[in-house]
Amino acid sequence: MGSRSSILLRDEEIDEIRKETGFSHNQIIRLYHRFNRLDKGNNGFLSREDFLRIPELAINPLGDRIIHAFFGISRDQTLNFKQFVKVLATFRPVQDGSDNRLNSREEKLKFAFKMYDVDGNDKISRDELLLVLQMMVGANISEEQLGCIADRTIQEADGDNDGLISFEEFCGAMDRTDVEQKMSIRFLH
Amino acid sequence: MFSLVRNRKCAPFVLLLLFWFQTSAAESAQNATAGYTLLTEEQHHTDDGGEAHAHHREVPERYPVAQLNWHHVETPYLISLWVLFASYAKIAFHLTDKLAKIFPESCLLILLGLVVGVIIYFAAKDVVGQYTLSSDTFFLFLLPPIVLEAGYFMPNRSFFDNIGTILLYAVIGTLFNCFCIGASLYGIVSLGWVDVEMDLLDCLVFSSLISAVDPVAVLAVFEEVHVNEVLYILVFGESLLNDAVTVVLYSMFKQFGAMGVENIKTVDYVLGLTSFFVISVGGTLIGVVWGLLTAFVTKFTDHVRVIEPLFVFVMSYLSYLTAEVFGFSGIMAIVFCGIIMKKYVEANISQKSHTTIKYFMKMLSSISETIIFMFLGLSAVRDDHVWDIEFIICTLFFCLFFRAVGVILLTALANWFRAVKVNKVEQFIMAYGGLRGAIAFSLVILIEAPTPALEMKKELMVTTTMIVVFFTVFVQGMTIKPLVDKLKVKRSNKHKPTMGEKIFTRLLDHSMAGIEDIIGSHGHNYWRDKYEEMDRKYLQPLLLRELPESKDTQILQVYTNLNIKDAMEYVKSAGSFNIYRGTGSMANFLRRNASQSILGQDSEGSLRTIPHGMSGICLDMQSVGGAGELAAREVDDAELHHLQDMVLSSMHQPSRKGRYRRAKHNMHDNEMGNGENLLHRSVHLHLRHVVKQRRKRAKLAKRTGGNGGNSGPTVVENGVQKLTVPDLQNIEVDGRLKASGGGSFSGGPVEVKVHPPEIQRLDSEGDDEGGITFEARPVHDTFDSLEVPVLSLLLMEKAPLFTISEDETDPLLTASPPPSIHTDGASEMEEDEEDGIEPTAAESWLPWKEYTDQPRVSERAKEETLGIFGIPGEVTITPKECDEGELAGIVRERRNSLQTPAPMLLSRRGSGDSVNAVPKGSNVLRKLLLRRQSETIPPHLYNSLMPPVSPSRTRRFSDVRPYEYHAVPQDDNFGDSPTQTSKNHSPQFPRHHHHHHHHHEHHPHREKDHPDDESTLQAVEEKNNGNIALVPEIVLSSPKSQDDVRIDISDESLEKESSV
Repeated sequence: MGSRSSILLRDEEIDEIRKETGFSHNQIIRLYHRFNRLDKGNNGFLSREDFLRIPELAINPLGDRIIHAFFGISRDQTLNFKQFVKVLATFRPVQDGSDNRLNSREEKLKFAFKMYDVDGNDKISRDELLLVLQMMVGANISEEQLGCIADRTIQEADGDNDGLISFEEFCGAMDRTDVEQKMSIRFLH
Repeated sequence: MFSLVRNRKCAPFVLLLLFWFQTSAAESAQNATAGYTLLTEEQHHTDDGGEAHAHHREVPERYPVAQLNWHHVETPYLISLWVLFASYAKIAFHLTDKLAKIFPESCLLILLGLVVGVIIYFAAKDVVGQYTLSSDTFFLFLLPPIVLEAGYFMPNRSFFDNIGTILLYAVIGTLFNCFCIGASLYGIVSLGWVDVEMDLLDCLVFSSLISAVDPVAVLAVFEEVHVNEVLYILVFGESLLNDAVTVVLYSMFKQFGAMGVENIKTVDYVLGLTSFFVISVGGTLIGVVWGLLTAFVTKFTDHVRVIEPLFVFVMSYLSYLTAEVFGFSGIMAIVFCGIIMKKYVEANISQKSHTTIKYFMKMLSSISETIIFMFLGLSAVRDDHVWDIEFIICTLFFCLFFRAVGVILLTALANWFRAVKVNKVEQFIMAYGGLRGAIAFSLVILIEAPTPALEMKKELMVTTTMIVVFFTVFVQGMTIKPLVDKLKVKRSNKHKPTMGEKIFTRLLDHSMAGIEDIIGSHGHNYWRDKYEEMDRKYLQPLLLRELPESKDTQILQVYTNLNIKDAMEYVKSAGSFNIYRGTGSMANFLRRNASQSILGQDSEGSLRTIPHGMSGICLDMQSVGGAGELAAREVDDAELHHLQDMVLSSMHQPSRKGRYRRAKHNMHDNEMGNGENLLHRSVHLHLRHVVKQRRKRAKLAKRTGGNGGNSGPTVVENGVQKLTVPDLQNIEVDGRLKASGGGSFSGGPVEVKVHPPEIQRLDSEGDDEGGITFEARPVHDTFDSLEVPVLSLLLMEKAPLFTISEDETDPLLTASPPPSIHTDGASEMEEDEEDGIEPTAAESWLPWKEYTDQPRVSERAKEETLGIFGIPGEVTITPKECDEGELAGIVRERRNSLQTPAPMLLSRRGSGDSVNAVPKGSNVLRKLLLRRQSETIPPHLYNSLMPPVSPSRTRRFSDVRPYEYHAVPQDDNFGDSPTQTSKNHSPQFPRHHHHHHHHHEHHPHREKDHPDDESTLQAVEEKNNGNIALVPEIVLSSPKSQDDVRIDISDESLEKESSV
């Protein structure tokens, strides 16, 4: 399947993607292989189920959220290769000199923000935060305890006291975190 | 300068030491000639003692009353003296700031060693050879503590994230260096530049020991440099892990040398390579096994807490020794032992043991380091140096050159694999940070030199090693800090993570692992995820006494830590939590204080009887305050009971935020007492606010854009309005309170000290450690000057300004902008005031009256408090909703409490450096104030009062809106004298009255003791000009760097300040 699919990806398409995302030709081919491997139905797009079929992702406590954030761009239930690559481009390491807006700090933070923001209203509510916490921390901790943590987190970040964390507040709270480093993944060349 | 310090501090000591040396030398002449080293004392000690004993046994004529048993104690005595001496030296260095700034400690210690060496050399030449760093001592006693500390406190995350790169540098880099340096040295020897004859193997032996970066030296220098964590771990990790390579190469070449070049076969090289893997992997494995073993043992120590630290030290030391037994890399063993055990050990042991381990480890490593460097210096003073300038200079050059080349080449290779590249500047620092140190020296003196020719060779190597070590430690060690500054190397941004950051980081860990799963590559995220899973499934059940309840202990741990820290800070800044202890009951307390405060309203005498410490109460006693309105006239017993009932009933309310009731979070530490539990549960909400305020401040400082201004400093928490949090750290809040107070606290009854370094830190880094603390103390003996009625009027008028803010959750209170509230609220207030509702004594004086904004007490919590404090205090916070009526009540209470010009209250709020009260005689002012009282400020004026913050300026102390105050730069002893009080009006005020940001320049030398009537009048005039005048400025004394502390405001003031 791999060799066939790489042929299906035309050079112009690759060039276009390359320009847009900053991935190298080889990286795109590699990702395309991966895309096709994930695409069990071989229908040219990935569904959520395709993602859930990845064994590690299925046991990842935040697997759901990752998929959710992944699909955040398209808003529909499928993801074609371009969208797939575009999301992944977010995690390209930030390099000096190259000003690709897809892997900027802001884009990276946006992805993380999307993982919190379930309902997509661009605010993280206490309940949304609590949900994420429950996923990570596990069910043994009482909701009240997690609630305290969530409250504290919101209070830390909440600049306008509305009990919600907006994206700007979120960025502010992550000011001291080396997002560029933490949200970078090495893509094989 | 150095000798000056040394002379002053240490000269007597040196003489004393010398005396002992000579005594001992004279007494044990045979030993002195044998040339023992100071620190290889064991067998020497026993010999010596035995002989001495025998000697004494010969003449047992009479029973000796006392006798000199010098031999008996000689060795430990001398060792102790050296340690003591080294520690004194350390103290002395840090007493001299200038010295410590220029030199790294390691340099100073070497210098000291040199000086002492020279003194000994001239004073007692025959003993000079005894005091050198012996290899055995170094490797068996001095090195392990340092390396253990390094491993135990290793930043694991960055270490393992960068392990590939580190290994690359450590293995390939060291090999590269070794062979290049060795070959080059052989080259110059072949060219005949060197007088001493050396063959290739000699060169390689020497290069193998000189090419390795030394962990001790790196640690000593980089500790003071604070480069970013990745850079640090790359250099430091390399220096630790190259040990295996060094050991293998060194012993291999030495062995080859002993075998003779002609006997070496290919198989020996293969064996050498194999031995590298065996030594490194073996060392690591031994370390891991001992680490796990230690963790396992501590699982069962809960009944013998005292010896918990012992296991950590002894077992890690054993891992080192075990590795050495097999000839493996002891350094790697102990490093990995430390790394592995830490996580589990810390979960098992008690908090106290943890502290003990931490400090004991740091102490051991620090003293080892001190001794090592001192003896390095000491060892350099000797007769047998063989100086061969060409050889030395070439070695130095090759070391630097190949280090640089190696780093550049390997970084190019590493960057190919790394997500985050190592940039040029970092490469330079890596190359430059390749310090050599005591390991090289200890290895070089281990070289056997049976014949004079070999002796010559060895001495040349020793001398060269000395020079290289000194050069790297002195020249590179001293210049690396300025270079790091100059090249703007990314610094470490060390701070305890905030809750949000921690959650975010953990979220990222998971999601990055997830993304790697999606793209199907196995990066370090993948492996970390795998490790965590394995850890959870197998290791934790095996090694931990109590399994963590959750999958993610880190988040809970951070939460616990934050709470503890907040509580500690709070206690530090605000007094103690124990204030109610021993008061018996709340009623008693109220009664006692009420009677005082009633008197206190008109005489300052009783005021002062209220202890300062009272300001420390923060246990949400405002619940009483809520009911306190009832005690309108007088506080008597009956009413107090009633009051209490009210409190209790109010506690029963079902609350939306019942979750606070069990704010108890994961307590890992069993030993943490109930009280402590209670403490941080009870305070945590309150403290969170405090912390938040500071976060906000820090955030605002960073934010360039102006944020509209809808976020007031006051926080409404869950339906109960937090007017202000009565905490010292809430400068902005309190500043505003003061500001609203209309400059009425004049005469400066209280001074508030701001400790500048903390402010600086806070602001410059958005740091979260160490808040601003204030100390308030009365500088005025009388409160006559305080016009209570005037004050109250003023306060009442201004109160709504700061009382209103948006509610987080309650729609009732949501988004009431200050102007509108003011107009409504203020008139309401005025009515109340005209009704003649005087503040009750309790309202005025009881500290917790301040906490009207705090939520209510839950019943259960109250019982718990009773258990601890003997009073129905507050443990958890269950906020209750309140309607506008209540709000008004709270506002009024708040206002009333502000009427109290008690030092205690001011100190609690700690808002200003000094607050000027209205002088008694200023009738004009009073009239004015009264008149102002009846006015309602029209909305447009209010809007002008609250102009949007101009985006260009930084507002460090966040959302202080209608009135701003700023910190005044002062000289060192800020706030110490009444001269540093604020002035009462702003000269440039009219110039930018459109801002209505009242501020001015305060230069310490310009400040007046007390505002005089003239200035008051001026202020009045300004007021009459249509400005909102009489806005006092709150002046915080501050460090010189005003920009950091400044809470500002207008361009002019900024300019002025910067020109100061």
